[in-house]
Amino acid sequence: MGVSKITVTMLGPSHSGKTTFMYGMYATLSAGIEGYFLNAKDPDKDLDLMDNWDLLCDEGQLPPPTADVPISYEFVFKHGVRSLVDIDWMDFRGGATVERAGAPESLSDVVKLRERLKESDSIYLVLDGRYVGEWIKDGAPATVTRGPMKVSHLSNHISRTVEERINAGLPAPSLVVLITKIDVLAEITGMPKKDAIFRAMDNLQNLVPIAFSEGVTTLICPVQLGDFGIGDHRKVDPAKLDVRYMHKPIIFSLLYDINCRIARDSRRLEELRARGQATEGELEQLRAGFWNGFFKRSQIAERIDGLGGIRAAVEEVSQELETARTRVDQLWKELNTLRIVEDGKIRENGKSR
Amino acid sequence: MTMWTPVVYGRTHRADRWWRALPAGISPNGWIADAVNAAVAGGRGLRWPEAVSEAAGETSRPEGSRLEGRYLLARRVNGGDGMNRANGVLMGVACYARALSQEMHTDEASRELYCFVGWWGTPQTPSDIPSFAALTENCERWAGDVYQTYFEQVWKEHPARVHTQESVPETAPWAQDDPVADGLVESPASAPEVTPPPLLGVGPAGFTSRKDEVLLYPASHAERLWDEGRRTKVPFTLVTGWDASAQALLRPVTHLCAADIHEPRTVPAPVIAQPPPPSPKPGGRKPEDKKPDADLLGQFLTEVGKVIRSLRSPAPEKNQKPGRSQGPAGHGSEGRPGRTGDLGTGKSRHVSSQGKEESSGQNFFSSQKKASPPVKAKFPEKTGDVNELDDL
Repeated sequence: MGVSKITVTMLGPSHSGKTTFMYGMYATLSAGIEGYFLNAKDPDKDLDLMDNWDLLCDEGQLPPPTADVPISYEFVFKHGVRSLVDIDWMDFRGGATVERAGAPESLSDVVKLRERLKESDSIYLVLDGRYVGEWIKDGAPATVTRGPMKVSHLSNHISRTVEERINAGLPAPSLVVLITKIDVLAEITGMPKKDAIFRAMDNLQNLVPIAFSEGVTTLICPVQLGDFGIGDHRKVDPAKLDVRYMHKPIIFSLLYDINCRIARDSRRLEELRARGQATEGELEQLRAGFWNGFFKRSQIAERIDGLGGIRAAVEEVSQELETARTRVDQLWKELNTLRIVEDGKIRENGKSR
Repeated sequence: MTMWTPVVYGRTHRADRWWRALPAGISPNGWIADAVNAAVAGGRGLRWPEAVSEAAGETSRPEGSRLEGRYLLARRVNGGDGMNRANGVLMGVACYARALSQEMHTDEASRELYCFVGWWGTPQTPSDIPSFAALTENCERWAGDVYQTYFEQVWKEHPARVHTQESVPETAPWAQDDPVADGLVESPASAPEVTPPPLLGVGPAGFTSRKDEVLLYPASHAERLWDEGRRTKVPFTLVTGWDASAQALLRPVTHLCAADIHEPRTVPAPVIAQPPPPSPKPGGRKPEDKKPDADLLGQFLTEVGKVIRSLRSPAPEKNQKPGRSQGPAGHGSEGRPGRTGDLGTGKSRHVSSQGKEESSGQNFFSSQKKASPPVKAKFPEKTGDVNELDDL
């Protein structure tokens, strides 16, 4: 199975937790889950990420605000030492999603983000748990047209991206609705944390209808860095660090990509087999008759040559499919209890509802 | 007298917009932005201001201390920015906002902010630029005043009302302080005549630098380099104040001072990444997967192979029945799938008999006609309970 590349882009307002999530994801997966690892290709970037993570773990130092120069990361997702997929990740400031890109003096990160969305195989929509908590407290209403989560604005970006990609014949990007800072939900809503999470997930269609649209596959993933609660978080208490679920979104992105490849390869396999059968039929026709084997030997040789190539391709594609399905089986259990929405329907215990 | 125009980079309490003030006609995407970014580096490795360590409310700076930050001095002679106005000198400091203001230094999430405050101008003489000692001694006040001017009106303003402000040229604060009398800059007449010792990357007329390398110096060289920069007329970008050189942004820096450098040395300048060609999806294959030259060569060799084979091709066996479908058993390994393909490599290979090819192929395709998975990407059936999430 060749190493492909997926492009991941996070959309979320300022201080919604995008950079912290990336640190947590990297720290979790660079240590490995079920034999799978995420590594920065550049050792210096690996040191940057781990230094920042160590500062967080040792001193409670949260990452500073991201400036208008996005930071690019090239990760590789591995099984053991074998590279499975390269991941192109870029950390943008939240403000880049709400600025105009059309003016002559537009900042390059705004333009870059718009361009990048078109190439994104997976988009993470980041909802700040503090504001999700407020929304639950307000009764989880529909039609949230404004507010600090910028949902309608960010949904517009996603909607446009999905449409542009489909119109260009590209697969729709997978979508992750990331609910960060879920440790604050209980305090804000007055409900047990888990109840608040389910209240949010059950009503998410009111808040993020784009995630339930036809043609869109969405993972809903609550995450937390620790049990810090609400309050002034210039620094957090390292003793309360308790990372949950931060590795799951990237596994979803990877599995979605593998599934797209399985679908593509399955189609290719069908085409190859059809071509093989057609070529066999042609060969049979050419050999019909007593003298054809001699007079049409050049055409016959050509068909035989073609058949050999098709067989090799069938073998190769079949092998790739088998490997891909094994990967899916291995990684799927990481997502097994999370909600995945396909074409607006939640997949639950093998059925949609 | 040289007029200097403030350059202010930093976000407000509410608005995640970073260019606070730029001179008229200066692009937020040009060399000035690159130079500021090299000093700011997303706040990475900036020193926490010592006057405000953990003593909340303590605003007085210890006697004799200097503003903790990274100092930038850069010159361009062909900046290429709008209105051809970017030629000139940019200098300033990147630091935590708390070092410049006790009121305006955090965002809505209480995160400490960082910033850059500097000045852009076209100095006529080296003495129009303050010495390193003068700048670091007074920067808290000089930059603090500029920070106050450009932030106080918009600090808690709604983001929709926060836009980059056009800064106006003004008399430099170091000129207002009567620099020569105050000893902030040396007067041309009193400039020392002592010839400094030779230094890597410094010639008689100031900096000598190459585009393909960055010169690294110990932190102790900052003052000397700054003074060389004041009289240098060629383009350069000097950043001082890094602790760890490995953390530094080297583009577009030509001279860099860091605490972990013990002897001056050079490193290659970073290569600017070219944007990748557009992705050819949905084939699944990326451009780098394709090998056009190899494909062409393969096709050519395949054609040559065909010609050779057609010339060598034996007459069909007399007892062979045309169109007969035969199984693979007993026909040797040549007919096995995957052994005779070589599409793309173009290697010619011997086909022992047409009968073997035909027979194995027939069964190969028909025997593998299993039902294919659906074309649309689907996840496996769920077996877990989505109402659990017990580990959260």
